[in-house]
Amino acid sequence: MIVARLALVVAGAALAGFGVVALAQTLSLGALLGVAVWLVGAVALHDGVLVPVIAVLRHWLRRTGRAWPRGATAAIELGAMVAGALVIFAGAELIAQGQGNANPTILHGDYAQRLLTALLVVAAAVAVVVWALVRRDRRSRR
Amino acid sequence: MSEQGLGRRGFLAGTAAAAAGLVALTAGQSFAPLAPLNAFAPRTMGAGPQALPVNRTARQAQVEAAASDPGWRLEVTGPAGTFALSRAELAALRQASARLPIACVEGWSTTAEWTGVPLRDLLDAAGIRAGSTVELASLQRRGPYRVTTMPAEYARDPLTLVALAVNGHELDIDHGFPARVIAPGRPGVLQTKWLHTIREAR
Repeated sequence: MIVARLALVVAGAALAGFGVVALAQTLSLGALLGVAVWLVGAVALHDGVLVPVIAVLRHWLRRTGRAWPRGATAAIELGAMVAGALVIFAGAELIAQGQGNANPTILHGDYAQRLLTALLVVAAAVAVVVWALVRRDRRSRR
Repeated sequence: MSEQGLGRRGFLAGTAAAAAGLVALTAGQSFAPLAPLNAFAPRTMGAGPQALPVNRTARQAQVEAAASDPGWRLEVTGPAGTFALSRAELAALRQASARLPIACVEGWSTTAEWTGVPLRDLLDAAGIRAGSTVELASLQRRGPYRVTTMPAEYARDPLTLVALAVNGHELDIDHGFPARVIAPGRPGVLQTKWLHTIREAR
């Protein structure tokens, strides 16, 4: 077990090292600076904004749903993960569309409407599961 | 308070569900069976001139005038000297066809039937040695891939073409008219469009 873990750590570090060297050899100093800004920005946005907001929402959900069966709050969190991934993906496209785009073969969809539809589908599926689980739980307690 | 929400395994399941959902709703830009589900990919299969996607249009590359100039010539330089061929002269040479994908590093890929002059025929005519790396330059005046180099194993591949037509039609200007390079196993950015010069790399 320890040997396997050590091998994985060494392989991972070697791969990461190869990536760093290749990056430094391929990119100009300006581009490397851009990569650094992006990486630091991503960490700051994730840890400084996304994580606190999600922690507060999750705390509120788990307190509000404490009388429910566990599957109900789990279903809501699962739905939120799927919806969040869709929002981040389509959100980037909406921003790019808003900035204007000189290539007519790309970004020609109505992503806002599709995102809304997808979110409604996810929300409806979660609502059905929560409703069914809570109802079954209340019946079995009677 | 009873345990609520997703546990560790549930979180993994959520990650898998989110990834599966995104793949299902985007992979259709390159993967035909999922094309009807493609809601969020930035591209749509078959969208673009000649049903092929375009990464950079002629207008974006600022080559519209140079590429549509009837005075365009493809210049090939080798130890035997330099010769220049018009589109009509290229079309009069031995033509070959190859079914090859454009695989963009942006994450899309589309296969098409390309027709044109095998690159190795032009290299032979210029006396470029079989083991030489070749330098290809576009009409573009700027851009990191304006000039690219192609190792001999690609340049000498019988499938590598200076393409004049795609799917049976003259290349659209956004696909590299008057002529473009198409080679197997190379990323899309190296499939030089609006080809201008070919020579032995130094």
